Amino acid sequence: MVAEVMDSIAGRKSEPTSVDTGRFLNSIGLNSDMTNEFTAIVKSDLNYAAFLEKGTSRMSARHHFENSLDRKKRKILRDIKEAVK
Amino acid sequence: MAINSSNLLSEVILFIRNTLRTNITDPLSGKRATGESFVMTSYPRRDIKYPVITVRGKINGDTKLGQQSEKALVQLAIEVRVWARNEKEKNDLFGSIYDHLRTNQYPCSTANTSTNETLFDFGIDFANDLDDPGDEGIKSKISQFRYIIIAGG
Repeated sequence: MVAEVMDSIAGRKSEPTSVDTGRFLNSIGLNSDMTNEFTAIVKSDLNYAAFLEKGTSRMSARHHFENSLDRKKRKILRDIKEAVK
Repeated sequence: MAINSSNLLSEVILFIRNTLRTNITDPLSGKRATGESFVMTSYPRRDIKYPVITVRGKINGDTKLGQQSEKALVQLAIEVRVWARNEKEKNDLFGSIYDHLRTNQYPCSTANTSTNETLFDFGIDFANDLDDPGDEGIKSKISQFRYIIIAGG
């Protein structure tokens, strides 16, 4: 999922690229404070990450996280089902 | 009127846009220029007067209704975003939107209710603030509502 979001930001998916300095791309990470093995949070700690994701009145939304999750949702559910078998 | 399966998503989005356009009071009613809308399906590229409401939708997945059925139970996510001049206006508009959608589900026999449009199981997933940067920035609230609809039903 982290790789999917990074590919999206880098312009390798259908979303527009969001790479200028590379700061946003390099900020994507997995939350290390996971409460259980079925929880994972893919995130960016940058204060402007939400503006890129959801857009502002002056900039279109880019939906890197949302679209990546949609693309990976079936695989994630399949992996969870496999893990609990 | 039932939503036509061949244009499912666009018809649902237009239904939500039209029901909000008709039932939510525009704070700038009578002050907008000709052709300027209060509720839209996409954020306009030209200069606009705030507040405005944008509606977008997506399909969150489906469930096939039987082994040899071509019908499907489709889960829809409808994003309604309020763009306002201040906190009060933002929260008032969001409250009106949620209240209208929540109280406009039944009865099925009445035109323009969501069940009459074959949209079932209304609910809200979240409503988050995402204001533009700066004190003078546009205030924005993003809310996501869910419905299910039977495609081919």
